[in-house]
Amino acid sequence: MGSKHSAVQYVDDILSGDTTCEESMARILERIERREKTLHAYLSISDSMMDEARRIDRKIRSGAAVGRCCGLPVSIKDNICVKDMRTTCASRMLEDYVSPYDATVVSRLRAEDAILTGKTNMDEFAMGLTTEFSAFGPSCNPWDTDRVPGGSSGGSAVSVAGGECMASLGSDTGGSVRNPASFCGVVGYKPTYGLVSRYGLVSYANSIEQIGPLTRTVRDAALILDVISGPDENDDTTVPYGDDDVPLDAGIEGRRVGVIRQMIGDGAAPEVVSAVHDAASRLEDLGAVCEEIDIDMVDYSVASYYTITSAEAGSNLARYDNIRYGYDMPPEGYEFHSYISQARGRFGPEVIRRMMLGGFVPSSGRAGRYYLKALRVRQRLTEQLDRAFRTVDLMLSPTVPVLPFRLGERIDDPVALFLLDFNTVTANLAGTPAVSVPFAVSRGLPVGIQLMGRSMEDRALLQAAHALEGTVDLPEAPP
Amino acid sequence: MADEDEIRRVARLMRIDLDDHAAHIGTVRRMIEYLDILDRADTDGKDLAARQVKLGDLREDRHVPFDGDVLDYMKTYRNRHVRAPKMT
Repeated sequence: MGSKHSAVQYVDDILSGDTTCEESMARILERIERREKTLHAYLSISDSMMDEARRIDRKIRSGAAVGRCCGLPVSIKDNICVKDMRTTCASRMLEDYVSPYDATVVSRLRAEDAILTGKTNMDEFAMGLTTEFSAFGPSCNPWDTDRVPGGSSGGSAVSVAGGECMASLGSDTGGSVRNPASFCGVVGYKPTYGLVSRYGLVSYANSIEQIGPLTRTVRDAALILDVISGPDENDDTTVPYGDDDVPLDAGIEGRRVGVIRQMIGDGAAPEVVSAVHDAASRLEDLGAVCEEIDIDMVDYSVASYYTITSAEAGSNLARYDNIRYGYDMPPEGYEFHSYISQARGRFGPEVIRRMMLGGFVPSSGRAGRYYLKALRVRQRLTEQLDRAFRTVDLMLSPTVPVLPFRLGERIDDPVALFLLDFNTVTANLAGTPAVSVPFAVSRGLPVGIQLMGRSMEDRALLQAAHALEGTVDLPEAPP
Repeated sequence: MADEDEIRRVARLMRIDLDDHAAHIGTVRRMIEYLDILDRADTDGKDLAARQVKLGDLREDRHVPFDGDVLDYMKTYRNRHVRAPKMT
């Protein structure tokens, strides 16, 4: 299976009769069995994949209408609910939790005849950037298994890059789709806030997070986004996706691209900065006009992001009192508060720290300096982006400032981990769409380039990403 | 600068037992030190803008029946009772 064997091609092969769902799924299953011990992309694997594939084959043979994702194997991050499957959020706290319903995104994939392969590994409750904070052990980067795959949707990126599915859904709160996509050499898309329903996504930071696809190509990401987006009566923040009136390959001639100066500064690795300049040059070859721009609030975006998300996480995690959600710990002999404290001992270190931070930043006497100030920074950052988008159509930067690093290398340095988010959190705070496109390979490791677009102009962003993708021909992850 | 006592107090409020997690105090302190960068951000003292949504635009508040017995999903449900710790 080559890197260019896309999800779109996979579906076309089935619909054209070149292969069957069952044959294709058998190849995916063989791949999972062969690679999973090394990569650890999944926390649970569906036992109904082959039955589903046969069901869809029967549907095709009968002449019935089939969906746009006909037989497509899609993995789902383990913080998105899939009916009758475990949804652990990579936490011991939810180790045995079985969801009684499907998330809206899952229902929409099923309605288009996608086949769910399983639930993918992640940092516990999506708090982390490497999957090293998963209670069930980290995933490994298919390009170099001694290195982190990024996170928090690391298992999703690994499952796509490792050929263990054809597409995946992750969630992106501060770059959790784009960061692992960049580290694993796949496409990661964070939609405009509200474009995709969060119903059935286990909440971490509701005002910021979005579900987004990880795929092998931009065209695949566009397909999955088309399927999962749009209004949902179970999520009041959802908005309609615009009309599909411009083809993905419309090109970017005449488009103005701003390279964000703050994101190619001191903290960025030389090979990453070099990739950004190369990307800008290639976009200019396609007729775009590139210039450097300043968004000075970017310097405070990480602090704003961690303040706001910790406060929201502190509130969201309050529900894990081990009575409504939790594990089997007998309550007899405990006083209410001590029972909850005892039960919360099952949270991993990063979740404990974020809860403490989340209690601190909005607390009496501290809220003005931290939480309210963070909200003001967010507002000002959004204003600066709006102003910049009056003169440019797109913004360009590295997705992550560094190359994938070794497992364990940064786990004890929380501030170093914070700064990995430096280029990605801006889109989350402002609600704008952003995409990571695999662009280069340096020292045997992939480098992703981030493009950011205006709110609700997701289709224009995908066109630009598709154009950029077309300028390179990258190898796939080693088998 | 947050001191250790303040972090311990917040942890207690968050119902986190620091007897098991004392090692986190130093790390949380470093995180808070990083957040102090917010002091340098010039936000012009502008008021925060809030998004207003009309009541009529919110989703209808209606009962959606669940297909199954939701209590079966509770870990602490035994013999028609929910087991819970003592309230004092």
